[in-house]
Amino acid sequence: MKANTSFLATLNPSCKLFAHLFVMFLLMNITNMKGTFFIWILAVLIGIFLGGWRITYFLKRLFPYFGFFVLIFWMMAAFGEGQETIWQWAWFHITKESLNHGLTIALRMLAFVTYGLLFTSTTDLTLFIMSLIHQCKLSPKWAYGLLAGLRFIPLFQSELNQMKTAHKVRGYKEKNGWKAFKRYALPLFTHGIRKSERIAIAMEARGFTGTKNRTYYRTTKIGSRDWAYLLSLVSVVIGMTFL
Amino acid sequence: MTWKMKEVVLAVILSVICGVIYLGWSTLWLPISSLVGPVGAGFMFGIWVIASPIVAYIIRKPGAAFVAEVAAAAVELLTGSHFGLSALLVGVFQGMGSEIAFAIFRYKRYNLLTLMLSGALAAVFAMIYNLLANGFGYYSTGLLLTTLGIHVVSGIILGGWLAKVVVDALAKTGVLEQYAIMKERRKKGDINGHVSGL
Repeated sequence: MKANTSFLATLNPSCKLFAHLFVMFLLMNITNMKGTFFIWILAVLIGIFLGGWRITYFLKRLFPYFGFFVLIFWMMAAFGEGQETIWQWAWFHITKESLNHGLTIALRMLAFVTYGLLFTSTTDLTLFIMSLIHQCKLSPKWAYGLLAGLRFIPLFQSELNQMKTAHKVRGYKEKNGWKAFKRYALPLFTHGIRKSERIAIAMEARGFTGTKNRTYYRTTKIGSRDWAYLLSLVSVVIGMTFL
Repeated sequence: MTWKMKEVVLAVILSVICGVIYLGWSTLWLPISSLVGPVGAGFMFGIWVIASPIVAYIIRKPGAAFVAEVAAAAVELLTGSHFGLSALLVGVFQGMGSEIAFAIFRYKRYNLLTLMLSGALAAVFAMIYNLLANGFGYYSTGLLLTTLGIHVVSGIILGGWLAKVVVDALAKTGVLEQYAIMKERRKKGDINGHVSGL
């Protein structure tokens, strides 16, 4: 997860996350389709104008979710409850209400995804953890532990590839998925545990105690632009709920 | 009860592994749910709550289950889940559910029963989130109860039981000698015939 050079990337990560979570809570309480649709469009516009998304990037990232969108719409429409029947076949029972609900819920899910993407595509991971320490008062012990752990994602990937190649060289063929899973999962977990122990000892050996009175190379603050983004986003979204 | 540094890092790293598994599972869930529908694909649910029983079973401290699930959900979000921010929020709910299972027994009992209970309660709490956020309240009652039933059973098997299988296999390799799970076993006197070079 890396930041880009947009306006959103200069905001305080915790503040941004909080603003987006707040929009999510508002979305959960909106039951009309029009309001949900406008809030989703708002996320897209923010992404394009403030988040530095190109249209192609946006389409490429969001395209897979349209299948998801259709699916949720279908589930809600076909299995939801309602009075005015439009179409009925076997156990599928589509009503006017369920059609409406289906579209609302599908748009809501799409909005959740878009606000999530808005956060992850503009946030630097290290800064995010730092702002969790400074603004959310997370204990440094957990914050630095988390930072060390996240560094492991690419390491696990290369380790998995290494294991696969080693098996291949020795003539092992994956016959079924479950057996292959067992073969790879156990060494991955044991390596993870061994490495975690080594990291913990290394951190303690360098004087890391995890207490709060320490100094930081990078600090994060909440400035006026953070408040401006938070308040304007929330007020615009609240305004949209009354449409 | 304070956490030792190595317990913190262990919890985080196990959560990271689980988070990556969640991400892969979410990708796998999409084509399957398009074939049999989200309700039918509910049998896959259990894997998404496995972090809590794994970490709580090894570390055995209050809060371990909650922290593990939230961290795993955060990793799923940060690595680009197609559930977006709701992956994080549902993780908070599932974590609360599994934490309750261990809290009921006052963090004293860690056996197959409590692990399965944690999977089941995580499923119930995830359903509360689904009712609040994903409009499950619009489904007919029969369908809703079926979904809940499938999720609970899946949580018990893929969450609770599988977690025990994984951790017991790990314990046999001897990497967990320094953690609460093996310490308690040594106290009881059954070491499963394995002693590491202590």
